Amino acid sequence: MSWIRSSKTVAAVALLAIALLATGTVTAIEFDGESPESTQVGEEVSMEVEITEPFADPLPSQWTLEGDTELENADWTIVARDNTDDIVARSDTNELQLNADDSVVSVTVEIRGEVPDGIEFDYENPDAENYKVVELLRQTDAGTERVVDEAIWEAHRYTAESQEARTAIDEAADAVEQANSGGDELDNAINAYNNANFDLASDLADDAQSSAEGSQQTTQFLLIGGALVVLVALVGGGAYVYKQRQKNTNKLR
Amino acid sequence: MKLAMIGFGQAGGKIVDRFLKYDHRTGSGIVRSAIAVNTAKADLMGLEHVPQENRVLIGQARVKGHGVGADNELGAEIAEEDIDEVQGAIDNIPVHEIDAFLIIAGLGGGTGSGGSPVLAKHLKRIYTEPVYGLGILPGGDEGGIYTLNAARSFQTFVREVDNLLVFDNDAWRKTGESVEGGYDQINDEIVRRFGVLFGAGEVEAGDNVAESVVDSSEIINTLAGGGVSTVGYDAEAVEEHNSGGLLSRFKDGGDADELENANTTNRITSLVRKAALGRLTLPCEIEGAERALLVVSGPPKHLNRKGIERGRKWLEEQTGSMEVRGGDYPINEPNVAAAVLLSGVHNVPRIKELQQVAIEAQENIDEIQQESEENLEDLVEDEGDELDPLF
Repeated sequence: MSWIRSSKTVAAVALLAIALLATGTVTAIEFDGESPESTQVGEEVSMEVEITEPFADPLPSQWTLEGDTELENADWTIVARDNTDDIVARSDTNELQLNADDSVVSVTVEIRGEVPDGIEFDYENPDAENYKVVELLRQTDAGTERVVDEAIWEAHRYTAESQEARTAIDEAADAVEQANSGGDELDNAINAYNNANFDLASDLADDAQSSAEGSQQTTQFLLIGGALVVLVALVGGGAYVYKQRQKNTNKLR
Repeated sequence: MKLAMIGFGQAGGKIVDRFLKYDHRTGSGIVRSAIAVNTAKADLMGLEHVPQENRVLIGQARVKGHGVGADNELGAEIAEEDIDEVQGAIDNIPVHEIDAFLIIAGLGGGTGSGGSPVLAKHLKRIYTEPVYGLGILPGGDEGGIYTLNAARSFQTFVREVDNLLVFDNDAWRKTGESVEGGYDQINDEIVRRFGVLFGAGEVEAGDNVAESVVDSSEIINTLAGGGVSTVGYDAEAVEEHNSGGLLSRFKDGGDADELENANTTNRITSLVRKAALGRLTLPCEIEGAERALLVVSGPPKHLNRKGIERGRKWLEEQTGSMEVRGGDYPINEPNVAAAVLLSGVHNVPRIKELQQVAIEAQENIDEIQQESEENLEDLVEDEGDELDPLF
C-alpha cells in the first residue's frame, strides 16, 4: 500500500514538474512591426520591427539575425538593447550577432529603401502584386531559415498606370453590379489589366461602366415611362368614368 | 317612331344636330337618318353630329356658299333649282325603315324659310310616308323682315306639309341671356319635347313595355288632319328608389300603397294640366284643337292607368274634341313627364299678330321702294335741269 501511495505521489510530483516546465517554455520570441501601406513603385518606404525575447526557447543563446528584403538600395540599421535600454550591439548591414550574455532583451530592425518594380499584375488577387519588405532570418550551421513563420512583412505596390486602371475597373465593377449588365466588357478590362495593358484596361472599364450605366438608365427610363403610362391610364380612366357618370342620359329633364 | 330628319337652313341644321346629340346621349333611336341642307358653307361646317356626306350645300352657282341673306324668295328658287342635290342625299335614306319625314327650318330666315316648303312639296310628290314640318317662328324683336319672311313661309309650309309643328321663339325667350346660350337652351327644349313625343313607341328589347303603347300610328293619326300643331310639356323629378327604411316594412303596406297610388294619379293629372296650359311650343287656345295625343313618361311604378285616363279625359273636356289619344312611355329615370300634342289648332293669336306685323312690313317695304326712285331723282338732278350727263 505505502509503495503504491508513494509511487502515486512521485507521479503527481513529476507531472507537476513537467507542467511547470511547460509553462516556463511558453515565453516565445515576439515581433512588433507594421508593413508600409500600398506604395507606388520607386518611392521610398521605411519600416521598423522590434524583436523581444530574442533568446526564447528554442532559440540558442547566441545566434545571428539576418534581414532580407526586396526593397532596392536598402539601408539597414539593427540595434540590440538590454533591459536598461542601453545599446549593446549595432549593425548598419543586414546582419547582427546576438548574444544572450550581453543581456539583450530587444532588437530593433530598421529598413529604408525604394519600392521595387517587377509586379505580377493580378486584379482579382492584389496580394500577388505584393513585394517583400522585410524577412527576418536566423543563420544556422545548416543554412539560413526564417526565425519563425510569421517573421515576414509584405506590402502592396503599384505603378501610376496600374493604379489608374484599377480605380477605373473598381468603379466599373460597382456600376456593373448595380445594373447587372456590362459584365463582358469588365472581364475584358480585367484581362487587359492582368496583361499590364493599362490603357486598354482603362478604356474597356470605361466602356463597361457606360454600358452598365446606359442600361441602368434605360431600365430607369422604362420604369418611369411605365409608371407614367399607368398614371395617365389611371387619370384618364378616372376622368372618363367621372365624365360618364356626370353625363346626363335622362330623356325627360 | 323613326324619322328621317332634314334640317333646312341654319336653325334647321342646328336643331337636327341637336336631335342627333339627344339620340346618342339617351339612345332613344328616333333619328333614322339626318340631313342638313344649306346655302351657307360656314353653317354646315359648324355642325357636329350630322355626317359629312349628309351635309348638302345648294346654290353654289348663285350665292357661292355664302347664304341667301334672309331673302326667302331666293331661298325657294335655289331649292327648286338644286332639289336634285337634296334628293341625292335623301336617296341614301332607307325609306322603308322610316315612319315619316320631318323637315326642320327656321321660318324667319332665307334658306330654310324659302326652301323647306319646296322640299316638302317635292317629298310628298315622291313618297307615300307623311311629311311633317317643324317650323321655328322668329322672336317679335328680331325685325320686320324676319316676321314678313316667317308669315309668308308659314302660309306656304302649312299648305305643303301633312302637318306643321310650330315652335315660337318669342314664347321661350328669356330676358338678359346671351344669343348663343339662349338659342342653345331653346334648341334643347325643342329637342326634348319632340324627342319624348316621337320616342314613345320606340321600345328596345329589354326595355319596359308600356301598358298602352303610343305607337307611331297613333302619332300619325293625331297629325293626320293636317294644319298646325303645338306641343306642351312638363316634367317633375321623383324618387326612383323606395325611400322607406327598415321600419316602414313593418308598417301596414296597404295604406301606403293606396296613398302612393293617389299621389301618382294626382301628379300625372297636374303634369298634364301644366303641359297643356303652361308652355306650349306655340301658345294658343287649346279649345278647338281637333285632335290630341297624351304621352306620360317615367319610371313604371310612377305611372298608372288611372292618372293617364284622367289626364286624357281632362284634355277631351278642354279641347272639346273626342279624338284624344293617350298612352304611357316607361323610362327608367327619376323623372315623370307629360307631353301633349295638340293638332289642328286654330285659335292662335301669335300667328295673327305675326301676319299683322308682316303686312305692315310689306307695305312699308313697297312704300319705300316707290319713294326710293323719286328720292334718288331729287338727289341727283339739279333744280333747273341745267346740267347734262356725260353720256
